[in-house]
Amino acid sequence: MSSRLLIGLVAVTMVSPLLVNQLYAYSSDQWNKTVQRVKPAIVSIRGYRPVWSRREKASSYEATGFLVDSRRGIILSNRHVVGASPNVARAVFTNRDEVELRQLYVDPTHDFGFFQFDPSSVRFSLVEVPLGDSDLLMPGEEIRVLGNNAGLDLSILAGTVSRTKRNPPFYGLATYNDQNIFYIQTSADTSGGSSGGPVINIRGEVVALNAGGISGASAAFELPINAPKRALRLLQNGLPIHRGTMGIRLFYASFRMLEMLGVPQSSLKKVREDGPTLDGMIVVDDTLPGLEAHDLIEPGDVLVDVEGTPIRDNYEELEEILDRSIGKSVAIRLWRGGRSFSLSLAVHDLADFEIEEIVTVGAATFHKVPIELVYDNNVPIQGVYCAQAFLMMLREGINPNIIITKLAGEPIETVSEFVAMMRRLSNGQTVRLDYLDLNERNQLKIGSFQIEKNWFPLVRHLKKRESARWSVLLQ
Amino acid sequence: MVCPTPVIPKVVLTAMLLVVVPAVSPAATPGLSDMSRAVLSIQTTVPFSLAGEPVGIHYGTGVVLDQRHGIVLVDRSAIGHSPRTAVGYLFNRRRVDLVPVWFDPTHNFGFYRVDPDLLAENSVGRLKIGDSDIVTSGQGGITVQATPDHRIEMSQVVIGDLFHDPVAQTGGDEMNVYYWEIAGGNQTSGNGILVDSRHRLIGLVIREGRSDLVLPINTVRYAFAKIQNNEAVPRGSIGLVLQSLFIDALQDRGVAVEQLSDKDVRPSDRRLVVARTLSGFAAAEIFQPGDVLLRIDGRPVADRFGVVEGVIDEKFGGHVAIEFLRSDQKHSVELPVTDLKTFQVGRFLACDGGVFHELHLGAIFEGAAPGSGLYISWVRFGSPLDSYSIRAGHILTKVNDIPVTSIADLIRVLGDQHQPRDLKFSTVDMRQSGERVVGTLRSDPIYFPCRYFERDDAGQWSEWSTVEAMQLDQLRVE
Repeated sequence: MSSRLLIGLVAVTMVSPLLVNQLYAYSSDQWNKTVQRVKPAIVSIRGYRPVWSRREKASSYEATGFLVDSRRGIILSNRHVVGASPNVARAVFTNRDEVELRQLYVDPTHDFGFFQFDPSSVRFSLVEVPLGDSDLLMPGEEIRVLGNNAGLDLSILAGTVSRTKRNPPFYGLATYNDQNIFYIQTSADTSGGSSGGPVINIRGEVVALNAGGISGASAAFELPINAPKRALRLLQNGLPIHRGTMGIRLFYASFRMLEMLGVPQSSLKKVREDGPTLDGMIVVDDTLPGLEAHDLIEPGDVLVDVEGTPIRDNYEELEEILDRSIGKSVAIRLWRGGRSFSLSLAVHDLADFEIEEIVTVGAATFHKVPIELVYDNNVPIQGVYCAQAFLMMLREGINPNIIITKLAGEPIETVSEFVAMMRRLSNGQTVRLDYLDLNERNQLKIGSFQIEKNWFPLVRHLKKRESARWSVLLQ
Repeated sequence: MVCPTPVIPKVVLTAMLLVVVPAVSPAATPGLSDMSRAVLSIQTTVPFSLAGEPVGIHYGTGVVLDQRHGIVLVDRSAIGHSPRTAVGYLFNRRRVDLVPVWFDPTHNFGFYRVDPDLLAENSVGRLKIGDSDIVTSGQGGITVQATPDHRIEMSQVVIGDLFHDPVAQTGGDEMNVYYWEIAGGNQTSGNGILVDSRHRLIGLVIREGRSDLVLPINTVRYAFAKIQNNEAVPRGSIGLVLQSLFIDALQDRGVAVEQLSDKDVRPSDRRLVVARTLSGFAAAEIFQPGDVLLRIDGRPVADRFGVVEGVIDEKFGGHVAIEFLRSDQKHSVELPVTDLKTFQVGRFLACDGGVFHELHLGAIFEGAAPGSGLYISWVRFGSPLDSYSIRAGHILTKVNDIPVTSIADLIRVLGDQHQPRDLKFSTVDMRQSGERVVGTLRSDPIYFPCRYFERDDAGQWSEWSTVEAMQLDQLRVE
């Protein structure tokens, strides 16, 4: 068989389902068979977050996940479900069997994470759902979203793919938002509880992971399944997952916007020649205070190439370059207006920005300054963030959502320094607090409060870097 | 013979509101500033909720009734069963620590103590107590309230109905007292005090939803006298929740009103009637709703709650004789007086995100039988209880089908857990007419280990291990 024929066959195999999709809608009977096949892999997740973190209160929740590795008991769901803080969760299969979950991995930027359970603890054979290729999704394609919609255990929502290359949904300032990736938009009318549910095609392959939606409109936002696939592969092989960053948040801008940003027509013409599907380029949205990029790069700069690889709409390729360059520098070329310039930027380990210790004392909660706050509030990454202020501080008029810079007159840059100081201070002692108030335009303020360790003693919640699991250390 | 009702008609009350001055500053009216020197802004912090009291940071108003002994009167939003720290801010914003002394088990007030030397140093005033029995409907008054930022606000008000029945509105454990209604106060403020035109304290202002009610100050006198003398305040109950009804309402209900008194009674007269009985009390077996109280230990009751309470408190530890009318039959009965202190929450267990304690009077008031279970006073967000449909206010009756009626029972079932395990909680929701609710949950000894707290005689709370708790319990039983 000639190599040309082989390539032709492969191409037909890949493209044909799409063609079929375009040609006619599948009958409900066909969808029914597909859904029945996938259903046993879906779990409704029920759990609670016992500790406040970031701007999220302790709460209980319901969500969805699905089995992607039956041998290892790996369940895929959203980052905002698996959680980057302590989480106690259980999964209920559609046959009502329940398993305890533990956090296995949460991605530092994208909205996916994995739970794991002990497969030997279930009394039936597990069914995993195959992962498809989200790059092959086309607008207009019919899909089904399966999930614990509105806490109803299992809902099956019909819809079509509306867009395949939209910027990630924006959930609000100073809160977690996905970045540097394309999202899929579908017409499924999802609601709370369906987070982490699979979006399946007619062949029963997962093509995306349900992440968010707009209430009152039939629009759901889904993370393409190709994003978690690489992480899953590494987990299955017992390999560490490294994620790198230059400290730049990006967005995809249309050619029209690029023109408005001052990119000359001649440059854009060349880019258009790179591909017929190309309708824009990746542009800098924001930089992380404290990293080199913050001083060298401006919002609106257009990313042209990284380490010699042209950057157009290929987020995935960019991510791979960064993930393998942690601790090194990468050469990047950008356009600013009509000018092209190059520079070298260090690639940092995203794990360094993750919250790995949460301290509770006096019913107040403290941890590292979350990266999304550094981005959105333009605050330094040093200091200790107060997520909950009840009892000890609130009664002195000190609200949560502040960054502690000094405690009892001594500078506090890390959580360890904060813990050491709290240990030294005795119960009932009144101490001075210097802090940046993020509720009031980052003003530097001075207050005082009485140390309270009686009712709620100092507890350290620690996460090991190599896993997403938390342990509790009572001081 | 029909006499005009003492209740001020609504039309007149509305007309009076038109002349009300919304707020006056203390300095604007001579003499008022002296009074405001006796008022404290109070901040309390409740780390654990007991008896359904709200957890968190609360602001209220206190008033110095006795400088020499440092006695401060507050309403029940500032004191109660729950552990709390309290600080007061004097008129000059000087901060003082407050030590809880006592709170009334059935009325909306309590006392704190403050260092008398600090009061003297800061020239804190003392408010004279007026006589709330001579207050008339339509009389004016001034409410004084401390704001959370420690300012004092005053408003002119008009006193309306003097016979407001708290059973109808307040619920909780407030009973057997008349409240007043007032109109025209600053609707943005919280609780405070009410003084008459001569700046004598005549009541405590209690906000109930959108209306302002007043607890007449004479309700406080008995306990205040005891506290001043550093004596215990015996408070008893015979388990009757009373309400006050007009004679014509009694007549409509088939009561032979001619038997109520030797004298002629007027339709506008009132009598105290049994609204309901508290379960577990002897009265529950004897009385029926609608029974009219005639005499208590030989003293005519008429419409005076004070007479009933006075006799019961006098006969603390003994019995009282009650004469009552049911339809046209008079009955006499002797009832034991129960010490209300037995319903004060003295210990609690925090476990799996819930706070559990033995039943307080409020739970009995809601209909729970004493010893029928444990009150779930608080469910923390993001805890096992929160995620499995168990709610604050439920009565926990069984865990894994084992009855739990005391904290020791619960510790026995939960306290020694080191590994998560499945638990079946059987609860009763008294607010839903005793609806039974079963919740299954996975215990969480890591994030929500069992913690036991006990209050000593001096009112100080301390934490004990659950093993120690069991030993303490055995000592008590022996």
